[in-house]
Amino acid sequence: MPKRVPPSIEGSGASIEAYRDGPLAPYLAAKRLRDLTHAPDALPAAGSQEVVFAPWLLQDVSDYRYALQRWFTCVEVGGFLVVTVPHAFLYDRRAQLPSRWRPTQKRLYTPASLLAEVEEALMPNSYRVRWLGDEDAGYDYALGSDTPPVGQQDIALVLERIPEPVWTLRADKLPSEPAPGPIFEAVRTRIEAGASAGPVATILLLKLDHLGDFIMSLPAIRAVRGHFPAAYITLAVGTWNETLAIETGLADKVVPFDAFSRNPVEEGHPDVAARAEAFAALFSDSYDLAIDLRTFTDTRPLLARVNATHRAGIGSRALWPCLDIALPIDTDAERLGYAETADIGPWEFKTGDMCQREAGSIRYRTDGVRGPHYALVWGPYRWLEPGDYVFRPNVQLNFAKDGTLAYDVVVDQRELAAGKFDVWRADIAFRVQQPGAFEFRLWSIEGEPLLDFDFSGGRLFRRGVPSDLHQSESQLLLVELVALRLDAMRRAGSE
Amino acid sequence: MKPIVVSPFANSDIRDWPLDHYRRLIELLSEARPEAIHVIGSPSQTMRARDLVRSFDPARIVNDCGRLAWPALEALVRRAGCVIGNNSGMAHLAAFAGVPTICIFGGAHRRGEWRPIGPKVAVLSRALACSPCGFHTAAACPFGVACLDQIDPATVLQVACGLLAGRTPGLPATM
Repeated sequence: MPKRVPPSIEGSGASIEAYRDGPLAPYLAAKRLRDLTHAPDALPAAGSQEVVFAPWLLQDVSDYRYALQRWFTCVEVGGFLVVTVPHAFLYDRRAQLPSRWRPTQKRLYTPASLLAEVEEALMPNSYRVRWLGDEDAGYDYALGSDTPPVGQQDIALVLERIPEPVWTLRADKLPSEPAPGPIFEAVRTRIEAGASAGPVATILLLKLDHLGDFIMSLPAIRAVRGHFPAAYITLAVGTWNETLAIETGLADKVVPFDAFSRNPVEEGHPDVAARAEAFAALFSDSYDLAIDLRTFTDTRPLLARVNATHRAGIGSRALWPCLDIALPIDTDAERLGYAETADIGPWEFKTGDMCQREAGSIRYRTDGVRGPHYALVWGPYRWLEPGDYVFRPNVQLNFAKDGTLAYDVVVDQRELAAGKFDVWRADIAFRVQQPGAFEFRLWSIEGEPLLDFDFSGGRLFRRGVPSDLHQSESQLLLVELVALRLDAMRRAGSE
Repeated sequence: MKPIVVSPFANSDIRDWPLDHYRRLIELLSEARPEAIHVIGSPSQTMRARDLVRSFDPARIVNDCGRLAWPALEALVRRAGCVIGNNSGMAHLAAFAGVPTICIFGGAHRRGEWRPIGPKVAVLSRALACSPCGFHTAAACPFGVACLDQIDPATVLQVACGLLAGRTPGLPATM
């Protein structure tokens, strides 16, 4: 703790007699009273005084917290600290320093500012305020501000020292268990700063997919040129896009490289990752920045082989640690069209004697007999509001045997969808126009053998308006993120 | 001499470094550094600020909590030599303004998502498995907000002295 210097001030010369007839009179009549007027630094012993009187001293003390604490310490429990200070609006008659009449004065006072200093200096619940007010007895309000005021012109404050309660205002420390340490790193205080970077002079852009993809990337490539006008940009494209890439004039150098086949339908899908060695050999230079502008992540293994200070792409860093700058957007735009999802477990469905309830599923194994039409599974009777829904039942079917399995969706006895399962897992779409209880049922079909199946519930979606990001928008967002991050790093590096 | 600004209060106590830690930090700072230290905050945080500054000389530790109108507060932050705060608006303001900033970041939120951004920012956080928890109040935490409680004032002092000397911590952000 820094050493506190006791206030060393001149006595104010204020006379206790001036307060004998006013509201302070009952307090100043005490027998054990220390008037600090003439010797403010000579304090009596702690808790020794019935009253400590500090008239017109506080305004000259720099460390008002310490002064108030020291004066208050001298007061016995049940005793009083009486403080007076000149009133800013009566004595100084101004709202800011310097004081008109006393150049030694450190602060101007109102009742509120005096009380604020007390609240700052003394422990809450060590005192009670017994009197606070303006003392203006005999004050001549007719005098001009250039004339020294006449009459009383103080603020007076009386604090009673009280026995402190056993409780405090601080929140009780809550009982707590030891916090768990992380699994993958030591418990420590991390000190992290933003990374810094130098200017970007060389850039490699990967745009290795097909013609339409390349055209959709043009706004992003143009944005790269706009953000880094002086950089030397190398653009890697499929051979089918080389001419067009040169014609755009956006890159300083265009290098053809076929990571994909020109026509995947006719020529098949090559293993892009297997082309990484050839790619690394062709792009062996060092770059300040490399950006993979393909939305799908199958070309990230190529990007990972680029010797670049910064590598940027769409995807998560958890999956692609090579990305220094990653735009973690969800490229499954279809999923963004689902407003709500609910997983419904098999235990929410009922079943008949034909099926067996196993842990986690409802199972049917055929005896090959062609049976009547009857329900095998039904439920879960969840309430649905109007809207468009998709139910994706989780049904494992054994198509090695002949047979069929039918389903339907019913809401409050109204059939909204029905059909048979085929080799593709069914997404069953239905529209609810009247709210009601949702029921999904599995049926046998009369005269047809049943397929073996395992049913383990399903997922119910409510469909909304999709929030598709266009391919060109995703890539532009990536480029803007790169520019933002590198700008921040450059600022950190240059200041 | 540019002041040091301490902004000890966030809008939620789950993001507040303990007041005793701030008190100790101010004590250490006032011993180690010659600058005035201004405590800032909103009018509703005044009582806690008074508790914080009580034991210090007001000539060195200035209680500006609740006293400054927004223009004056913003000007104070912008001319500070260093701003020390929680994951809160003042840390973001200082960082954005390019002022050397220490953000004492609790574990309730993901620091990669919510940390202050700027050229001279140091983010201090505690590596604990329970983070991020997403709790909104300290009372909800079964571990006594260990993610903040375990950050040592001496460590914050060390980083502050470095920032005031023109050094940003060497560790890059891991987000």
